[in-house]
Amino acid sequence: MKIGLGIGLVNKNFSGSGGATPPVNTVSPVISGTTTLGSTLSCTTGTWTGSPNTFIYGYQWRRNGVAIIGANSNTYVTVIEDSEAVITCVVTANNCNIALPSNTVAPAISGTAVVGQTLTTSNGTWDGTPLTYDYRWFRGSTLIGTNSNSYTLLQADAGNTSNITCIVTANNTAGSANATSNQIAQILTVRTSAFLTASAISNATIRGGLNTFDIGLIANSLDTKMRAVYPFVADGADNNARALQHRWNFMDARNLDAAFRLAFSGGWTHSSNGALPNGTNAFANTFLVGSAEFNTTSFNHLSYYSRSNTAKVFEYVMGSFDGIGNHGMIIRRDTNLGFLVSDYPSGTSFRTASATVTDGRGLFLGSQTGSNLKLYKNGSVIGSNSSATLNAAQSTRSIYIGALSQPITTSFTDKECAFASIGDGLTDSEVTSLNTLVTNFQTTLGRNV
Amino acid sequence: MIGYKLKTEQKDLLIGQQFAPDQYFNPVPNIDGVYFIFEGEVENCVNEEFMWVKDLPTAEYVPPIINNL
Repeated sequence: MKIGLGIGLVNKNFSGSGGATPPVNTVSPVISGTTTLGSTLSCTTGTWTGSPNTFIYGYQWRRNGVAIIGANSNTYVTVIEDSEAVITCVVTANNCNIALPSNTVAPAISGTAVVGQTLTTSNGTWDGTPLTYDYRWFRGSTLIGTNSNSYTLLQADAGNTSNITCIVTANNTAGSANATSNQIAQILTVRTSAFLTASAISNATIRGGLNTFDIGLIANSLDTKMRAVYPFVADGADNNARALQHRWNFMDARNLDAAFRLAFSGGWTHSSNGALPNGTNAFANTFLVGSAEFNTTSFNHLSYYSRSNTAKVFEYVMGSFDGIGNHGMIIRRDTNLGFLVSDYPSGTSFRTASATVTDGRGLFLGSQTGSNLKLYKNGSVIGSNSSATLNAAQSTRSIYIGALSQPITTSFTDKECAFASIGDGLTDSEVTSLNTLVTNFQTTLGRNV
Repeated sequence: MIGYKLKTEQKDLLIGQQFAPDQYFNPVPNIDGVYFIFEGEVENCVNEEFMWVKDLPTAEYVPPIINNL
């Protein structure tokens, strides 16, 4: 086997239009490698001039001047037929018939689909030797980012049908072509993501419902008013697994008393519909102490959503009571349903907003703003007291769900709980907004009233 | 409501103890001061130390007179 020089040839199809000049070979291609059977020979492109000075190279290996079929790359592995033959390689330079980029594998977005995280797109795979790439990020049809192969997700991107895509434009001297990436449909809020991770919930309906709920909280500026939100969602396999999922505070999904996650005592039934106390000894400790969180200058609210229409007398659904008369905040039912705030010793001047309620289902919410104490059902005021200014210490015990302070009271509830919240006092319009969010959330989960 | 009847020393052993992860016993008295726990606690108990609650006798639970707070 003998090796000849590579030969540079000008592309025959050169048209010479627009001031362009054809390729001119100034340094011949060179073949390197050994002449033993099975060795790999390589051929350089040589050096070329021309305008434009971007070239696409073609290769044709020859045996004794005859083209070897299929030998069209810059390398060639010798075979038995090459013995005693002269091997050459013809290199063709082309600077006018460069093809437009053509996408063969679509760009792919990677990253975590959570607000604040960065998504990155690959370029995909292209024919036509792109020289540069441009990027345009879209949320639906809205342009949200350019000039980078990465994009950091904003709160405005959060949603279950956000549809984030990136159009990658590949450019070469012949022009440009576009290719669209895969679509990232659901973008979670930071809080939803943290809650789902902590509770190990993977159910898609719960995931979407919580995401929509949190987006609504943020959009209505309600997120800053919530100390604790208990959505009572679960997809665990048994009662104990679901209890561990029901305990999380959506606002702070850490397994700490200081994060106000729930601890359940007594007899509870935990299901995908919520947490059902047995009405006899079941309660959940929020670890949220009335006197620490609800002082005389803060304005407060409690809410409780249930599909149960039970009517126990002296039923304490949720609140804080220290056993000696300092009640803190309470949602209770005696002859009427009531929301009570008190800082007085037992038996004197409870500040109460109450109403007679025959249907105990839905979202009941008590709220104090200034001296106004109000009881709401499903977003509407059903009881009020405009002389309810607090002026002394509240209960030093935790707020409990399903009872007051164990074991002092025996007034446990048997109402299933599917949502509860504790936080700042809310205005009428804020209560209306929260009710809409909670109602939509329960409807999504198929457990609305 | 049917509950599981406890002797005093059994009640003292159970108060505030875990029967499953992050779930705790809450014995409560009946009208006569006898303490009870209930189905949710007994059925879901996975704490080996307290598996004996599954052998407790059952009885009708009559709550004490409600204290109107």
